[in-house]
Amino acid sequence: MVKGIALGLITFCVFLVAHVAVFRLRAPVRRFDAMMRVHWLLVPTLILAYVVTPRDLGVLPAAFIEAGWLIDLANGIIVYDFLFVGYSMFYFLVDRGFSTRILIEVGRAPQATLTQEQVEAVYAPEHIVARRLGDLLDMRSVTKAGERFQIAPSGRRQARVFSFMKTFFNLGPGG
Amino acid sequence: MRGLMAAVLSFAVFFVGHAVLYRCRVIRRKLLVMFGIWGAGGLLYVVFFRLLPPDASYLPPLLAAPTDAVTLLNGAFVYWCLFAAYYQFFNMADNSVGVRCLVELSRAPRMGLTLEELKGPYSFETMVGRRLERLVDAGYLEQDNKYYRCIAKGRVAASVMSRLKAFLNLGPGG
Repeated sequence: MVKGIALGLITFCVFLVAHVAVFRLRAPVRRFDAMMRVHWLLVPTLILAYVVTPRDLGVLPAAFIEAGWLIDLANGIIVYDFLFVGYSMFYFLVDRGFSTRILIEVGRAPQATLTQEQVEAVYAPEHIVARRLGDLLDMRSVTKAGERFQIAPSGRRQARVFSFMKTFFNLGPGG
Repeated sequence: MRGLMAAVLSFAVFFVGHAVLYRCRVIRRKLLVMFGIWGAGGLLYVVFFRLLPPDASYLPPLLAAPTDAVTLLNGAFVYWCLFAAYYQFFNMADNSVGVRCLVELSRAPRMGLTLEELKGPYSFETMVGRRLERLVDAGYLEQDNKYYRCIAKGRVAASVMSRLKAFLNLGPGG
């Protein structure tokens, strides 16, 4: 099991380096798409690395190389994928976090103090919603006719799933 | 496989427990309660791991892994990751501005809504107020009448996040 886990961890480190390099050098507009591309490109690399490296990676003791190759490789890919999912969660918090941005704006203010109206003045809710609607347009969940936003069939399906979750789990309207 | 199966079984129990609890009660501190259920599921993970048969007894060699500490820890990691991934999805359903826009647009008349009209069913003031309230609850801000002040924990978080945004060229974001 250790070879797959080790290669999954190494591949994730390579992903982090590549992701930081792409974001710093090219500042992509569709950021998460760029991240996903780097992530998917590295999956075949991980498989190739598994195939071409020795079973013990040249350093592992015999007790760590007893697992079947298929479960070892599959587990390595699972570890890599889950690390990516976990990192994406953190990434969205940094990039998109609504509360994060509010915190930064309050922290930057004189005496680190603002009223709700002042928060809304420096970080307009209209812009946040407009940005999210722009993302939904990119994802084709929504269409735009003039100034009006209309739900697309895929958006309606997503809305149905999320509405069900909000109702089922007693979440209220949220957002 | 034993660790992975124990992780999937524990996550299934976690999910059922969480669904029943959230369905029957309105939970205010959602993440905290979820962590509690996840922790209980963690104990169950160890039980499942002990009860499941060794891989070699029923699986072909290429799918069998030895029952050792690595397999146990690997399964525990997968159990944590299943929870983290599910929480991300759950949080999106609960808090995402994009999801709320989708839901409101799906309820709107056929001709859709303008940004201005969206403010009718989806109050932007409530959207900001809810976040401020949560930041106070979590100890990042303190409230003094209508003023919100960033306190030590909030300053550290704001500084780390600002630096990360700058490091990754993300702009102000949010």
